[in-house]
Amino acid sequence: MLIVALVYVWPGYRVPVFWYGIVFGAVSLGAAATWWLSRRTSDDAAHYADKYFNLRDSVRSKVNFEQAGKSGGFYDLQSKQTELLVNDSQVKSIPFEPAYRIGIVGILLIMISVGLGFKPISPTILARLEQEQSVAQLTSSANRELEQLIDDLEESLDDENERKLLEPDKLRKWVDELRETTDHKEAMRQYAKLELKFNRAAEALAQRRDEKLLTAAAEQLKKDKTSKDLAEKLKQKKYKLAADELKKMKPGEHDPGQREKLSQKRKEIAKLKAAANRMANAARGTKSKLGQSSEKQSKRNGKQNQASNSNAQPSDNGDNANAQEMEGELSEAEHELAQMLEEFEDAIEDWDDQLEEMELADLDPSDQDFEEMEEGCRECEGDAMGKLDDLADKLMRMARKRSAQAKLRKLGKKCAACQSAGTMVVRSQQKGGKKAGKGSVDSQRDTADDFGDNGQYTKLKGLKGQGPSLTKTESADDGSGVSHRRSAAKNREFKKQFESFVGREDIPEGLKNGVKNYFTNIHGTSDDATEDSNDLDSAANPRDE
Amino acid sequence: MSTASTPHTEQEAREFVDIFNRVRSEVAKFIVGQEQIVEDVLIAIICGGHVLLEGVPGLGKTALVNTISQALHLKFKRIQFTPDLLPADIVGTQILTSRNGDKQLEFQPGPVFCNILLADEINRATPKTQSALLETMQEKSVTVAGHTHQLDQPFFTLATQNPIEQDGTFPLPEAQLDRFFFKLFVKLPSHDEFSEILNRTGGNHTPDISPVASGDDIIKMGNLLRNVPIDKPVQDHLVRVVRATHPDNPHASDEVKRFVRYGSSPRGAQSILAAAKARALLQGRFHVASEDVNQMALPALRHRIMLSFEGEAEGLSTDSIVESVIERNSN
Repeated sequence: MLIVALVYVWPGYRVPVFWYGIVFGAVSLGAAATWWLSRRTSDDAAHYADKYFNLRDSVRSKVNFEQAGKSGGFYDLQSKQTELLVNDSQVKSIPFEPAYRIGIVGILLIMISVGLGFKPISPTILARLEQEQSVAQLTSSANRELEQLIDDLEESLDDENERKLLEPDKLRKWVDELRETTDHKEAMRQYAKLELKFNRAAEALAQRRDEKLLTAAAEQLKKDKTSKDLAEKLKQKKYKLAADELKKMKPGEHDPGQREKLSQKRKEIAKLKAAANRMANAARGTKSKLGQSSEKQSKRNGKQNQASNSNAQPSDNGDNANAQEMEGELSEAEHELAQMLEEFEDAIEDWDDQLEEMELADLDPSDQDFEEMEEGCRECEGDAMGKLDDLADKLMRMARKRSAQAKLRKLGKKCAACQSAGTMVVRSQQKGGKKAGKGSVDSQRDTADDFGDNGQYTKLKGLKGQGPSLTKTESADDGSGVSHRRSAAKNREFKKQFESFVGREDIPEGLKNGVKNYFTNIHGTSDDATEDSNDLDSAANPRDE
Repeated sequence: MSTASTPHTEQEAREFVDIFNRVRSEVAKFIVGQEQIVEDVLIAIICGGHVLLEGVPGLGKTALVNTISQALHLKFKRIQFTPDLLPADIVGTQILTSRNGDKQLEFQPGPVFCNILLADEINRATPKTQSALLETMQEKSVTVAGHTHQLDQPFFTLATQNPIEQDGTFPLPEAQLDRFFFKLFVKLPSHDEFSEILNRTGGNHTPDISPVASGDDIIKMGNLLRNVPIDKPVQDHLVRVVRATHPDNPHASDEVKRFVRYGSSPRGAQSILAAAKARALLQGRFHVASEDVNQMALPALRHRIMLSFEGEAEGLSTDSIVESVIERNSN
């Protein structure tokens, strides 16, 4: 029992009462079994009596002879002699020697064991048990909430395509892998892993390049009043609405046979053409490194300069130059959207050319050539509208991806929230912090507070005139003021520290991104460089403007 | 189960003790000290066994046997063994005699035809001569020229060995040693015993030894002690002791395993049992106790255990081996 009590008391637990019953029962059974197995026989008793009274095996021999049924002659003599000897012996003179030592030791051990049973559970263990319980409750409720989120997400999915992007079954499987646990670190670890999965899934749906292209296209479109709505939608990344806007720009049905209608149609097409041109220019800007400007592009640029359109503003060659300022690291094969925009522009241009040609030809509808030209116009129209529909579908797909990505990020944020909640559960149970009524209403602290050892080894800083600064001011020579050699060494050190920080799994993704953005802002790099590349050298070395 | 009536048995037991004590007392008139030797020799005689006495010359071994034979009114003969002694010198031979004018071979019995034979320095005779005596001891008869001649009963041989003159001797082989009931060491008398010896033998008067028992008494006593019962645990103890002298016994001690080559044969256990029964009666008990076994084990086993080369090199004695075996198996 002492051993059992020590097993509990040593780490700080309280001895469960049922153990006393178990040990008592086990000891009783063991004692009974030991007594039964080691109990003495009459032969043992006879032998002991012979030894004690120095009877020289008389009693034992007599007992055994009688048991064997031997009698007569020497057996009777032996029996009689033994009786005489036994009669002369004082049985009561055999001393009872209780095991005092064992008894005293046993009583002491029992007293100690019982005493240990009254020892209460240590505060440390109590706190840990409370923490474990809190963590268990937290994980239980968090898991339920995540499951509910997945259910809500699945219910909200009307679009089959978005369902395919999100794969809710896979998400549900990830959430089902979560387990209730009392271990705080294990809980944080599993939520961090889940958050990573969600964020990676969201990253897989990223379409930054296309979005960047559309943002650039929006900048171009903004310059034209007719395409301002489309530009706005593209800039706000409301691609579904942008697709609708694009479809609205489809010209109405007109009979190409009527000359007046042709002009009208051409006017309507001009809006679309201008928009297509601007978007295509934005796309071409991304292909500056490959230098793949099509002949049609240059031809179109020339025609745009000559054409007069009341609704369309003259194209700005500077816009092309501005669009080309974007980094052209994309290959044509990868940039489907850019290709679509260019093809759309080509299709519109061809259609417009066909209409212009037909307008200029001014043929009679009964003329054979008229029919051919009409057929050509219809083909071009079909091609152009097809390209427009393709573009609209592309925008719709982008909208769905964006929506799915947002939902995944929301799930990731929920996981981050669970981690934060778990951290708060642990911190709230640790020592430290001011007690009620001990705080301060001032916005600054003039004296340092001693919070004691709460496991957190960073102290609040920020006293006026005290504390370290995260930035250093170094002496600077003329010019950049920074030595490249020292900065390179600093960059390497920063890179190592940053990589180890990013690689940790117990830090929420949101926190990592915040830190990354913070240091990025310190070094003054663009978002593009930070998002497109993990090369921290570029983040550390600002571009020369 | 004894068939004799209890009163008769009790009387016989009393007579056993009386006769034994009478003989012992009678022997003690002449032999100074050596009480245990006398007792052991008498026990061996009663049990029908032979004794090997080992001691330096002059300790009264011959006198002891002679005195016993007088006290028991038994025929006593002594043979001094020498290297040139022949078997015929022991058992007898046929001689050509002339009777009524006819020459015929007549068996002339040797000194072995007696009740008590003292074979002095038996290890000085050749093995052939030794074997002639030892065969006689075992068979209690002599066969010469195809004729078997029975020896008188009781027949008891007391052989002696001199431990200090080992050169030119023929040590008895183990198989022959096993035929001796007891091997006893005759030690030097104490100071007082020395004085008493001188007192008794220095003058003209020597004590007269009267016969206080006969050979029939010895035979009767031998028959009586066979009825003394032994309890199974005591007998088990006896068997354990004897078996523990064997090095291949799993319960043998490390000492036995290391220093003993051969252990005692069952004949040793028989000797112990018979002697223990005799001792029990002498102690006034009607059953054999473990104490009797322990007491009789040493003289019965010491000559039946062969030491290994390592044991002899260590200078161990069989006595220490037997004593350690007895102590280890006593409960």
